[in-house]
Amino acid sequence: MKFNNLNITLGGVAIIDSFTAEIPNGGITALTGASGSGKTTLLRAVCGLCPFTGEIIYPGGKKQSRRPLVACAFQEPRLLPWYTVRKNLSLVNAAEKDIGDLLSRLGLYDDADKLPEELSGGMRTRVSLARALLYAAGNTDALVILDEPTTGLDASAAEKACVLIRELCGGHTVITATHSERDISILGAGRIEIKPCVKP
Amino acid sequence: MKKNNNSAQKIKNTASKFALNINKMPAPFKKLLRGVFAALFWLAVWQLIASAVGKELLIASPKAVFARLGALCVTGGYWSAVFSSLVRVFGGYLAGILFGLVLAALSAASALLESLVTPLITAIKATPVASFIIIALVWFETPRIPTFTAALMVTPVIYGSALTAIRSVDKNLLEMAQVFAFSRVKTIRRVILPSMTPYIRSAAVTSLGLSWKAGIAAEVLCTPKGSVGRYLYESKIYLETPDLFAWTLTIIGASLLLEYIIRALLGGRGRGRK
Repeated sequence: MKFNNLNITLGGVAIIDSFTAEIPNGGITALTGASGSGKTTLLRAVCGLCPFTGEIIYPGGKKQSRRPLVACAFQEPRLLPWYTVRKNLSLVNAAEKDIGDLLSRLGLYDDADKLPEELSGGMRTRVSLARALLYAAGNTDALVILDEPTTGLDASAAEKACVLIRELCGGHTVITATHSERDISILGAGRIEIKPCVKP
Repeated sequence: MKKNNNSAQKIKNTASKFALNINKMPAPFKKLLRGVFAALFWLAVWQLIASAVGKELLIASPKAVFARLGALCVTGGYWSAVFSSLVRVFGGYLAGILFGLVLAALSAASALLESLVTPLITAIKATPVASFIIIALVWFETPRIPTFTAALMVTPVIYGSALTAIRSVDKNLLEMAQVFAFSRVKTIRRVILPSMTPYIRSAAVTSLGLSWKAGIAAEVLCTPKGSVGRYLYESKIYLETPDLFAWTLTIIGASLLLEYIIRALLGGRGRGRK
């Protein structure tokens, strides 16, 4: 996967300037950099949620117009508040058994019938991660985007989450934004540092 | 003296036991008890005023009104009038909801359409109900006027709420739906409609009372055959005050019943465990 001379400007402010990089297909790559350096904006562009100039070439040589499916865990969980955890996960066409198995592994099995508002922040983050992982499992060619997937998790839960990501995303191209060296190490991820854009 | 003190103590004990029992009662029962108490209080006030005035022609006593209501309830004409008025007004109510939703969807889709729809809604909101009824008397056959009037009362309320609801759908959730490749139908069904439901529910309940009152007012002015409004009008013409009060009670009862049904149909709670 390639980024060729990518430029992203939002509200007249340059966020990403002439970004060029190559990401190995089928591997895990961590975007690092200071807060506000544009990691989330870059991931949003990959998801097709943000306009840009330049070029993104997706795995398999696909261009922006033929963007592959994206399994995404956003920085905020973005769960549908009127549905239970189980229903939120089934909306990405996951099988009931897979949902149960993954929730068990994330320590959320007993919370499957709760509404998001009844969960703690960390639990919601794990549900959001579960949704992305289930979607990726159902779509073998999906690109996996994880924006700070362990934010709000304690060390043990974060470690479990990283192990799961590594295990369940085998074969997928995964891009994750993170500040955590521990996560990068557990994930065995390559690293691309995003430098803050200083241009007005 | 001692005997009197004992009696006072007994009364005090009974009162405190009763107060204790009320406190121990389950909340719904307490609420019901309070409701019954309030109803009895206002009935007593009504009776007092009726007794003070002493003229049934001006204020019918509760006894006379309930006797008349009882007599009306056993006639087929009463139920037929209530049913036909309900059907007429409820038809208008549903049409108003539909019209309001369609206009809101059009306004949300295009700024140009919104600029066309806004003056129409403003005009409907600003025009007195009586003007609509009289205009409708020129345009429509009598039985359709209450339906038309009820629809016009509902449309602006639903339009305003629906437009706000559409605009307040969480953009983050829409992006989530886009990223996970939800179809348009799935996005509307799973994201947009549930977001809108609390707004629409509230507007639907509010506008129900409005439409019912406006519909009956239209019936009073256009007097369709065998309608509640016509009976109300006739009881005023023939100075049958107990009838007038009995029909008014019927209108209030029907309004409460309709509101109860609508609340039950739309679900009383905001978010469901689905």
